[in-house]
Amino acid sequence: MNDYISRQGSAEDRRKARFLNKSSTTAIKYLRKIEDLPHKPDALKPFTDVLKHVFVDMQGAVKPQGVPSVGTYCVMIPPELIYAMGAMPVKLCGGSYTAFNVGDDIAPRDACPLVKAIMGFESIGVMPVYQECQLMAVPITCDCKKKLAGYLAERRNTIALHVPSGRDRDEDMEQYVRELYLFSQKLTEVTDVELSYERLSWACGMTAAAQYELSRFIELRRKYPLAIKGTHYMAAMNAISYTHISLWTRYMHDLCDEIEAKAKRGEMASKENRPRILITGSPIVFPNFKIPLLIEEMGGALVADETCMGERGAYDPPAIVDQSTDGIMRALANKSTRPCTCPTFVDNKRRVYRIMQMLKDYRVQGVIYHVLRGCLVYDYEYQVMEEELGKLGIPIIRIESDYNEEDVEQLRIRIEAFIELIKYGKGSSK
Amino acid sequence: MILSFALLIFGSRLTGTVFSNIQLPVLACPYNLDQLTSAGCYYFSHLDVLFTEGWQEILAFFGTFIVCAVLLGRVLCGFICPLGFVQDIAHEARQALHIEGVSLNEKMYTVLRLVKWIMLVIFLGIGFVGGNFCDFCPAAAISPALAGFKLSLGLGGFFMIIVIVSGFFKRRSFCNICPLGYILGLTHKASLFKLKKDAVACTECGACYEACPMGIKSIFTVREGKKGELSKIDVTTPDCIMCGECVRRCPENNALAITFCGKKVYNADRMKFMKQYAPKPDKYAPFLNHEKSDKHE
Ligand code: SF4
Ligand code: SF4
Ligand code: SF4
Ligand code: SF4
Ligand code: SF4
Repeated sequence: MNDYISRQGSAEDRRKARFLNKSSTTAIKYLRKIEDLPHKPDALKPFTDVLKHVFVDMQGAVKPQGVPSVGTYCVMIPPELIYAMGAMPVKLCGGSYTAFNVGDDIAPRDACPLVKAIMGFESIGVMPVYQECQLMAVPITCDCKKKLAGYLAERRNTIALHVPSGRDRDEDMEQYVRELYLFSQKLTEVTDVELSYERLSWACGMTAAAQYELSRFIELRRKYPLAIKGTHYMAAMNAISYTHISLWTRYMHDLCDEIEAKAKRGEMASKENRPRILITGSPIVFPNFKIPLLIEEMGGALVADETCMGERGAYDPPAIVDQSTDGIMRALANKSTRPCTCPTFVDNKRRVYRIMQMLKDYRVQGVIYHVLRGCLVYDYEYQVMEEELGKLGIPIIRIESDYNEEDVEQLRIRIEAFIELIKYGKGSSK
Repeated sequence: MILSFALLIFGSRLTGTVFSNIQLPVLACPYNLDQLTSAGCYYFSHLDVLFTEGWQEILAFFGTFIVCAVLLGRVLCGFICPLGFVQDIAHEARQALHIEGVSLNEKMYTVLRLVKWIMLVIFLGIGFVGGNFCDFCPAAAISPALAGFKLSLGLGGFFMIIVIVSGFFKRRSFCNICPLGYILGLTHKASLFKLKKDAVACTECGACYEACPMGIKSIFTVREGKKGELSKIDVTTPDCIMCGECVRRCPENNALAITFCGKKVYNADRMKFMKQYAPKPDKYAPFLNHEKSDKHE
């Protein structure tokens, strides 16, 4: 009997060791690909180091000592609130192929790979960033996230935040304000910090610094769309999920400085004649970077991304119009839901508009619409996008992928063809 | 704003003159004999008196009103009216104290709108039935009092206290029911100042709606103009006091702008927006250390 248990245990241990091994191999591979892309800014290093720290060295989030982690998903959980309560948010939407394989056996076949990866992490229980979280905050967005909340609640200290499905009515926003208050109580249980105006405004100042640097970066990029490779930028944006915001701000500050200096000297990261591409659609989470990498390897310039682990993740700032606790809470609820371009909301005109604006700002020539297999909400929106972009004469393709490397060759062919189309079709369309 | 406040309250004392022919349509009570110009509210609330005046007087009155309305519109409310200024001070006081305010939602604004209509009817009609709006006008209590004239603690004083207290908890609450401001707002179509929106640049973040002291929701929800245009949509409404708060709180470049004769005079700008909140780069460091930050508070 004892023997059976120890063998069992060691089989389990072996499984865990295999898991760690495999995931770090994948992470190393994609990190190398990211680093091998030409014109990598030097200031990118701290960001890739974070990814390495978490996915290769298998360490926890990068943060000052003694700060507890709170796992969050999606973009509707305001990090300001978590920082205010003395904890640090860690965005746990998964991009790991290895974890996906584990989760594949747990979740139904048609669930999206992102959620499968999260379930995989949970069931195998070895990733420190994941394990160290003392609370999981899941916003109820799409169906997959809803079921995920249930799954996590059985195993972990979890809170589900009910995100309104529409945003124009005042009640929708007020409901989310209430959710945030409930969330803050839950956070107090973890950190023993009480909600107060001072804490909130301190935290908002901290995130505002990050958003200031990010805005600076965005302005730079609007001016010089080719100043940095999109893949590099997306890696930096992915790193925000695992980095304490005050550190990330400094990294971003340095990156801005470097890019600005280079751009002023006329040093660009891509050649002028490369087709400028925007990527949108389902989240792109490290190490699942195959699509951005393919775009740049096949001669495209990824000039903009509208995805939730990319720019959108930290884009919308709270507008604090009332200097009181409730005023800040309202501002946070507002900024987490109203401007969000996530397709899980009922109305999505703003998503179309946001992309139209980005097309203009970054002088985009083509749009790659990424759909993770099983991600219905984004798939629905494709039709809308196709129609709207058709009116503007901007080509768009829908690229479906899964968390494995079997489809890379097929993706390569399609992306290459698309880039060629922009390159050579340009003359005829104008 | 401070300047106009000074001028409208102590104006004649400062400049030694009175432009008595110009009657600014704002609630700066003409009982205050110190002000630079007199206010149009008197004749509006005493139309019966106005109609007994000579035609020159009537013409001058409507003439100045129309000129003011076209040139400035409710910019007068945003930056000139002393009663508005008093409310702004109350609001700023609360901001400094970080005391919870009252956030209104659509339903409550609908109620306020009803009150405004009632006020409007009283304001215009009371003279005809023998009453006197000035008896309970809050401006009558404060404007002359500040200038050192009589302190009337009658009904007006009572209302004034209500105005200040409610203005403390809800920004510009009286303006939401002010009849004179609304009359002025009715002419917004002809006014040279306009609030313009670019629906594509707008992310519908709702910040403008949150910021708007008048609870004007349409600035946030409008997605295309009447003719289907997506940019330069005119989103001015009669309620808008042109205070520019929405533009200041808008984080998207060019999404909102106040224009004068079609030229942008105040434009939403992301970097400017961020600068309101973000500490300077050399101040980033203290955020790292939680112990330190606790002491900071
Ligand atoms: S797109 Fe929306 S639902 Fe999907 S992961 Fe991002 S925020 Fe969540
Ligand atoms: S939005 Fe798509 S990718 Fe994100 S959790 Fe839902 S189904 Fe998965
Ligand atoms: S609405 Fe306000 S600012 Fe305008 S006249 Fe009335 S009290 Fe003055
Ligand atoms: S604040 Fe600006 S971006 Fe936000 S809803 Fe208003 S106009 Fe749009
Ligand atoms: S719409 Fe803008 S300018 Fe007009 S009252 Fe509201 S915040 Fe002020």
